[in-house]
Amino acid sequence: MIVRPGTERLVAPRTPTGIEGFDRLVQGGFPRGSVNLIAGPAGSGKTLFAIQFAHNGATLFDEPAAYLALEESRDSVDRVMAGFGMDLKGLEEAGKFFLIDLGAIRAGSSRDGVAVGLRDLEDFLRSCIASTQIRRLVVDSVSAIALHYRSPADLREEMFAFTRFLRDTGVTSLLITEAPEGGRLTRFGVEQFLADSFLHLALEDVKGELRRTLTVRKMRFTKHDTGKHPVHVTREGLVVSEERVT
Amino acid sequence: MSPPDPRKALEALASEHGLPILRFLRDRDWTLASQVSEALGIHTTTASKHLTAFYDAGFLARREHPARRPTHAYRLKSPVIRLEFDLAERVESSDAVALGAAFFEALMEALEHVGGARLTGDLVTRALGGGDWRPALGARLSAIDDPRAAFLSLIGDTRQSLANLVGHATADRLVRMAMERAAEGRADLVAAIGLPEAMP
Repeated sequence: MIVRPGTERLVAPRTPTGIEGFDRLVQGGFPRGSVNLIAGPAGSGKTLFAIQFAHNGATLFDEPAAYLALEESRDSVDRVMAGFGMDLKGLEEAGKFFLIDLGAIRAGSSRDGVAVGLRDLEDFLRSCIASTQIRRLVVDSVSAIALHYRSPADLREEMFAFTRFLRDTGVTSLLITEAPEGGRLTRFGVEQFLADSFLHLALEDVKGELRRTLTVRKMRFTKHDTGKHPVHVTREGLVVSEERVT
Repeated sequence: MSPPDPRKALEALASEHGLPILRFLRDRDWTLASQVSEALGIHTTTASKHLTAFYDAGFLARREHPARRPTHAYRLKSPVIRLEFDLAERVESSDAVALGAAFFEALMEALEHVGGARLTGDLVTRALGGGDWRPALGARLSAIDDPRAAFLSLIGDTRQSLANLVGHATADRLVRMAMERAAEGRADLVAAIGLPEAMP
């Protein structure tokens, strides 16, 4: 995307992801303080995208980040990070990256075998943000939280309040949600309407091989690219290709 | 002083002279057994036994009569008498330290899974002033005379410190998990110390 000289001031302040090839699709990054949603089927690269968003914030942009895992364990996320040369322990000790496994709580208590709800998460984040001064947040995943609610209507109502709370914090958030392969864009069909942006990752069968793609379907306050772009997993992490899938 | 035996107080109250003696004392200052005996027409020994039982139950104050030692004089502490029975077992300081250590260890382990070493370090700093948590916890629990109160105070302060880090809902879940773990195999001590009351 080309931003014409003299129009830069019209672009809201950005939070760059640092993911190669992505930020140029969205005028330099997510709008600062916005709530963003990334959806995709298993194996499409959601978790890696989110880890890089948080890790790059802590290491490249001096923005401490928290990664809230609700389904994956700390060990599991740590292993992914280590696989791409990211030093979780060092960043945690430096107070720049906080990996929180809230799923460990429900797994460990005899009375809490149900999913953590959004109000619990809000209660957690109020304290977490105040004590850590984070500027970026990842919630992995909304799908795990949604199990707490009886109907999509209940989920939508609670998510509306939760996303409003997130915007009020000023932290730039990235929420992960599942997307069934070949079906709806998001698992519950409501998540994308409440976020400021919506990125969709897909796995496509091309001549017998799976190919990852990324599409920016929505981003408020942003003139964004709307094409479908190939995504590659390299040693350094995800790379979004400039070319478009036709 | 050993705690009052409620049975003696109940026996004294249940006797035909119990309430008349207390009513007699209601509007009087220091009174001797002989004065009670004379006013109510009962034997001095009977009056003295009742006064001693009421004193042991905590209803009366007692002092030695200045002129007629070793005779005692009595008066009501309050015109309103309430009966309270503490059925809890006595808790030793070492028991409180052992249970407190088991609770804190379980909490640290759970917290480590949730947020790693940073989060456990932050909790120790906030709840116990930092450093090695074991000696700090032992010193804290031993510093208060009442081990039960010391333990419950530790739970309350830890819960609040944790809430400041992870919010009240998550803190309560973690404290509950740690309490359940600490309580395993310690049913008598847990009941004596009042752990169920402290459960969030």
